[in-house]
Amino acid sequence: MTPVDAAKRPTRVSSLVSVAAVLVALALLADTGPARLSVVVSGLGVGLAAAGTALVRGDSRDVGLPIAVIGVVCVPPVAALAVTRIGTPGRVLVVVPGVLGLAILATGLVPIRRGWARPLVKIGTALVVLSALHAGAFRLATLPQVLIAVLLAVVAWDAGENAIGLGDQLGQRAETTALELVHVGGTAAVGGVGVTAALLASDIGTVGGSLGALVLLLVSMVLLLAALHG
Amino acid sequence: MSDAVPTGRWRGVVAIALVSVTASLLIRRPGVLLIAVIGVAYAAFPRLTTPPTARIGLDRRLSPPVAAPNEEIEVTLTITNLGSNTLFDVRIVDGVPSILSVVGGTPRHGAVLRPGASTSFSYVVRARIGQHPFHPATVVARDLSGAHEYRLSVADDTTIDCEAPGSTPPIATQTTLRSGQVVGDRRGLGVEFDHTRPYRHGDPLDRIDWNRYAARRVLTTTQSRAERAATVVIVVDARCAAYRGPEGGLHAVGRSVIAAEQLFAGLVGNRNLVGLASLGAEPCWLSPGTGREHFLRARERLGSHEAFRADPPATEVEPPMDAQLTTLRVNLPSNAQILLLSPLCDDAVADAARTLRARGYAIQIVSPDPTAADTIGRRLAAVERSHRLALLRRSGIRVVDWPPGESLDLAIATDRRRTTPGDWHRNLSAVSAPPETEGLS
Repeated sequence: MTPVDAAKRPTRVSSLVSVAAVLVALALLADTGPARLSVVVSGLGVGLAAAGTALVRGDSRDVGLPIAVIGVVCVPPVAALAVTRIGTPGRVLVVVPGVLGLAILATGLVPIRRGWARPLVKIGTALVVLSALHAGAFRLATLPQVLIAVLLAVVAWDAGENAIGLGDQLGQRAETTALELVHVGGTAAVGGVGVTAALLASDIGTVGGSLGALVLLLVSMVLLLAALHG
Repeated sequence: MSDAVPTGRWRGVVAIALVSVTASLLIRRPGVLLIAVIGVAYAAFPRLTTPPTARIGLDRRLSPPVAAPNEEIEVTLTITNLGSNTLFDVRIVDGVPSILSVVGGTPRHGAVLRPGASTSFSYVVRARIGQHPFHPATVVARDLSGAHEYRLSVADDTTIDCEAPGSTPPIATQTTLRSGQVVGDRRGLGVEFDHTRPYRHGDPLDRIDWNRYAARRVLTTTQSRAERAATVVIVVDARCAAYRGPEGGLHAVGRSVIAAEQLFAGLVGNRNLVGLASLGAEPCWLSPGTGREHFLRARERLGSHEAFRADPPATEVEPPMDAQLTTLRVNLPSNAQILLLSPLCDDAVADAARTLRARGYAIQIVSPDPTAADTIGRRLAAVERSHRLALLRRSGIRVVDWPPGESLDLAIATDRRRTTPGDWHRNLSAVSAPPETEGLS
């Protein structure tokens, strides 16, 4: 008796947190003017697309549809701009996956299709992690920036997946703000602990040192991961 | 009590660590290795949070506690954490009775509950005639990481109780000898004036029509028709094939149950003997009786019996119509009238009605119209149904067609204004006879 699909969309609070986290992460990773500009423009594009979609759903189709189309059309030229203007391949590898990841995450949270929502969110945030990895590899951002960007990407994934799950179980109209914020807070706190540990580890000893130390670190990491995964 | 179920949502975070370790090896940048620490932290996160063992208390309040049909009732649900752990992620879905629609708010809610804390929320439901018990509320509790989920059902015996105003039922005139409100066919001493006849020696003096004597000096005796009670059995068609209805609206079995309660109330209120039966996989039978307690028993059956549930039965294993009819006839008193409530969506029930009539039972049908007219297939179904109705009417069975938006009283009143089966024959013979000509030159 009550409509199903419209009410089961991802919840708003967590979706906003997810997109905002990715935007901040990209802002941290972009160090030059053109890079920052491309991040800002893609953020605006996603914001316009979201506002347009909200208007279309709220029965203002004539106003909402053009706004949404402008928003969607913004993002690919920005990516192209990034490729041409930014210059060094390193920066391109940082900005392009990041912007693409933002766009994919946003389409997952709309949602474009219910079955695709979770995979799109995962792929989008994975691309943001990839761009953070590139920033670390090419030394285009400082270590704290890279680490916080990874933390924000994981928070974005967690918030997005929670939004989808809550939308499925409770729907958009249910009152879930406190629940979502507590959940995101918990995830961010754990990430904060991880970032602090990583920064402490970077201070202790010279990381640019011997290969032997690296191998030992590697072996211990693999063992720990094996224990955790099982 | 089920155990906590893992949700598997953190599967894949380990990939961050694995990829960064591999990358750092390949490009010989130890800085990238530190990203793996974050991956490790998040991979450890689900193992650090304890699965919740939730003990939840539920309290449901209705405002107003008793409502008239189509009135709005506000349902307020309060959930309390009775355990000693904080529940970081509690999701509640209330068990609204399937037949009722939610018109305001939503019966779903999420909250964070410390030990002893409670949360409440409300939504508005529109009442329908009948007894509607609430299903248990489903509560899902997750730990902080969301890696473990614990589901439970919490029940609270709340029922929405909505009494039907009695409506005038369309029953035929066959009667038993209890004084009820059906004007019977046997003439004699009763309470309703029927006709007069010439005075015969020996008629009681209080039955002489003195007004006529005063006007015309003719002695006549009044005669009244006895008001007699009827034995009526209301049969609800609750087979698989009857669970049909327009999209977004109530299906025919739901409407039949509501109509059954209204008609039961009307008939019992006029001191008739009324019983209840059903067709379908789980037949229901309530012998004819009268009085308020009998009516309450029938309401309780209509609200809670397996035969009348709001969702269509999952299996199509029903006894064939012949077997169901035999069972019904075994139970039926011989002078019972049958009031069948069926959408008439298939031929089996129409044949059953004709069979019962052929066996001598007076049968009338109230048929909730489940058809829509938006697709060709549905229009065809509507045409087939009207054909079935026409055939039944032609065989002398009265069928009240009840369209979806109308009240039952209006549908019965509209049908009363139609021609009765007797008039049909009269009209037919008038058409078939040649027109009388005034005089041929």
